Amino acid sequence: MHLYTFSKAPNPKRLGYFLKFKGIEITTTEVDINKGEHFSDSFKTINPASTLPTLVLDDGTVLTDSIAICVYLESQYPDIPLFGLNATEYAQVVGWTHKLYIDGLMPIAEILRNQGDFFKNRALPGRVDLPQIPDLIERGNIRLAAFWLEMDEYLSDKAYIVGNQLTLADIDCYVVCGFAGWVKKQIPDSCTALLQWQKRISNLLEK
Amino acid sequence: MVHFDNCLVGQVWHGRSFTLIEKDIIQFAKQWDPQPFHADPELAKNSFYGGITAPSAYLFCIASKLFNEISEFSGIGALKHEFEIASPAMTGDQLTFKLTCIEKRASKSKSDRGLVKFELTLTTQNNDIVLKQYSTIMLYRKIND
Repeated sequence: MHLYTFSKAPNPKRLGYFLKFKGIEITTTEVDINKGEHFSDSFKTINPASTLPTLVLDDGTVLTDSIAICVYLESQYPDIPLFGLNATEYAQVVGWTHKLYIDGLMPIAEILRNQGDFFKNRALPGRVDLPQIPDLIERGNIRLAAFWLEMDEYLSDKAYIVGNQLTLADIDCYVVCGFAGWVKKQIPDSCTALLQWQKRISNLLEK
Repeated sequence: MVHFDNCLVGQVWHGRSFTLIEKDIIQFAKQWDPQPFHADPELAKNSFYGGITAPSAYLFCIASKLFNEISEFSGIGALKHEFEIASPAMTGDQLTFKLTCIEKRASKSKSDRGLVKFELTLTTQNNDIVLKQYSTIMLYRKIND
């Protein structure tokens, strides 16, 4: 296996915490997005969509989504389970990763990518160049504010997002909370349950 | 360091193999469990299993030794051990250790600790489980809620 990643970015971070907690070590190449290395011809031959992380399996199969990579690695390295304890929790973890991507990560990405020069004409990742739409910044702000409140309410009587222990759902939400800092946002002080949860997960992930 | 909080239900640790050596079994048995099929090779030949078998207390000690080797646990102490000897462990058997976290519960009265129930197994080279042990151990918490 060979992993291509850019450790600082949010989707690679989801995978990074997953690998670290499970103690999995994979030969890794850092692809510097800041230098545009993901648009190089050599990387596009591996992943034409230029997205990171990208995992190349030993048989040549290329996995290009964090969730796909995590599902695969969970099956290969099951000793530290991060997808719950049974079929129900597995389904809940997968559902939460999807929800957190749509309702947490995407609003922040909307704010980030629809302003400034760095993402000019690259308002969404992938093969197609897309123009920025400044109105989406405001929509992202509204959605992110709603996300904080929803997660705070959900976690008001729970220590973890799924079940009674750490799962990939917690890792994903933790990454979203950190990613908000990229657009100078943070969990509001009034969201005490979410802040307490963030501290709990930080203690587990930041060793 | 494995604490209550980063020890996950379903988590598995694989320990090393331990080979049963007859003189070590006999030495242990003579001191702690001197039954002829554990301590006397000649008498053991005519016993039910036809040779020296390891005392259950010896298997318990091996499991404890291998448990300590696999990872560093923030243990306060063991509260309960239950074990079954599923099949005899004979001289020359290679026993492989496996540890699984099967339950955990935070203390309601003490915020710095919790109870974790582990399943420990010793399995021979033929995949026969000779020791299956359930141990409830108190671990310190990494996070005090």
